[in-house]
Amino acid sequence: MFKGFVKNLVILSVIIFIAGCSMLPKKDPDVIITTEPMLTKPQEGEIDKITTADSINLDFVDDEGLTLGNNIIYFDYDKYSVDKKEDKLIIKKYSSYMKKYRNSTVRIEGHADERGSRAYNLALGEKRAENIKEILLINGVSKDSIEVVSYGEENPATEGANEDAHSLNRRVEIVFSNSGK
Amino acid sequence: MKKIILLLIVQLFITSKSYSELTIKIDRAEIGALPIMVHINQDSKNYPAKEFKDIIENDLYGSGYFNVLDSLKVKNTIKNKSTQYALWNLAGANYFLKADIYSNAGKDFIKFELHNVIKKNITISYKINLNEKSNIRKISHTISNVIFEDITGIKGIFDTKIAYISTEKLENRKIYKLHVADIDGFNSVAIYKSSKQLMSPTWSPKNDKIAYVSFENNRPQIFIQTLSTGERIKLLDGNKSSSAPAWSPNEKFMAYTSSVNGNLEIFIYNFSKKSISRFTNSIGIDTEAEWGPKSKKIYFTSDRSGRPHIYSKPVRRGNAKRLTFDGSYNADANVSSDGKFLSIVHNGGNGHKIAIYSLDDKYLKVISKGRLDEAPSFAPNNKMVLFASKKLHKGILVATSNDGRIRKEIELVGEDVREPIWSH
Repeated sequence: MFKGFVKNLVILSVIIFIAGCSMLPKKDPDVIITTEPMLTKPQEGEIDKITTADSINLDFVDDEGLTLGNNIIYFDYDKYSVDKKEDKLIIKKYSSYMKKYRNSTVRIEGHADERGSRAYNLALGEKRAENIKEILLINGVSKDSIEVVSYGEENPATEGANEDAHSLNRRVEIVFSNSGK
Repeated sequence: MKKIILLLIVQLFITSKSYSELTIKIDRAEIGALPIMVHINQDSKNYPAKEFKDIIENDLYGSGYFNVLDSLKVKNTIKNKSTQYALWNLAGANYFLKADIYSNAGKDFIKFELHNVIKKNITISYKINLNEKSNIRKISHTISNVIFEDITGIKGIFDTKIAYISTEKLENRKIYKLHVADIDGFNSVAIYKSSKQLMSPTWSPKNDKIAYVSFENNRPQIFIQTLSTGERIKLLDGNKSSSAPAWSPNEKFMAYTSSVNGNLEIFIYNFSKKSISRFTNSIGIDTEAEWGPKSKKIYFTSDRSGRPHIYSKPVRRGNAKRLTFDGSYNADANVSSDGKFLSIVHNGGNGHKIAIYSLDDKYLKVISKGRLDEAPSFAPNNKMVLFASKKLHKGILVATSNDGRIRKEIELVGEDVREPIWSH
């Protein structure tokens, strides 16, 4: 059963020109400054023309009563290992489902809390997601049906600068991009 | 400490919507600041002396090294030199910048000379040709650089730029903007906008391009944008994620992070050969490559010891060497242009702060006070560090001198700012 299906299309294109873009000093023997590379014709890129990936939250699927339930796995600070039994169970359920519905594909989305550097947090989110992928592969899920992406600290589950918020933001979400049914 | 708030309203676009308002709050020590006066005579109507004067005075004051005195409070046209120096001295000035804007044979010039009031001599004298294409801000910053360097012996950085990311929250979405701005807050231009995340901007060695990470294909990928043309290229073919771009100073390579066999590793892209080589090979996370000034060494963040720390490794051959041992977290190294220091994100148990690590002395010194400080980069003269911080949950930029003499807070009205990087 699909719970949600979201599709966003944002098309907004703005082209601007900057006043004074031709105001660069020319080289002249009397001028002691040098014409260094600088912004001669700044321009604004297009805001976007990309359709976001289909995002399908699948809570409950199987006609025979196979329940997927929770699709979020939480992590300790700066950690990416999956140690808890209940988390391994979540991944196992997804493995069983994906082996049953061979056309199903998932997007494993890794996240980090806001602390520390953004690039490191992007890597941390990816490592968390890669570890979930690894367990799915070990359980026999096809490599081609798994996509991994990290958002780092940018898409927190909840706002807040305390440990309660941080612990909810250090997570991986398993999202079906195709239920395979 | 004296606090001054300058509201710099920068309206550069012909179109009305896309302008930026940057505010810079300067917090600086007055003790030890050198008293200087700036006086500009204007004999040519084409160029307003006040514009030059305001920019130069703002540069000198904002450097933290100078106390700018009002030159109009003293008579500056005395022909007898010793009387003139005596008057300037009496007014409290140690230095006097005297400039003339004048016309000669149909051409306009600005001639300037720096007087050492104590020694009663002229230390430097230059003239600059002005024409309709002259950029008054750039020429003024150049004059500031010349006199700053003459007096302090330190390279002036008044004509340098910063790049940074801002986010604007709209009703149901967020707009990410990549900006380039002058270091004094002027000319802030959003060179790229997206409804998807933008991050990790970095300048090319010649400051003519910026590489950054964009999520426009629903995953992090590296793009290079040429500032003069706006042309954008994706660094790598295919759909794989890539992040943390780092240009080699010789401009031949780009280091970046990507995953292989479930681990995050650093790779090096060769621009001329269009080839990729793997640089790191360890279980876990290797990321945030930063090249040494000679393009022979790469500093990076790795958690191979269990916690994130800074390592270095020769580009050609050799093993990775762990550099940081203090605290539980050291990441995002930025190397000074002389190759002697790293600015890093450091957690010694009291939040994530900016620290400077001396590569010679192996000594780490914390220089920021926030709990969520990140993204440090050195000024081109290595005397200041620029980084991102939070103020009342809002993202701001902070530039602080290594000696604590001056601290600047840079805010963008209505938007969060983050990930600043100083040009070379």
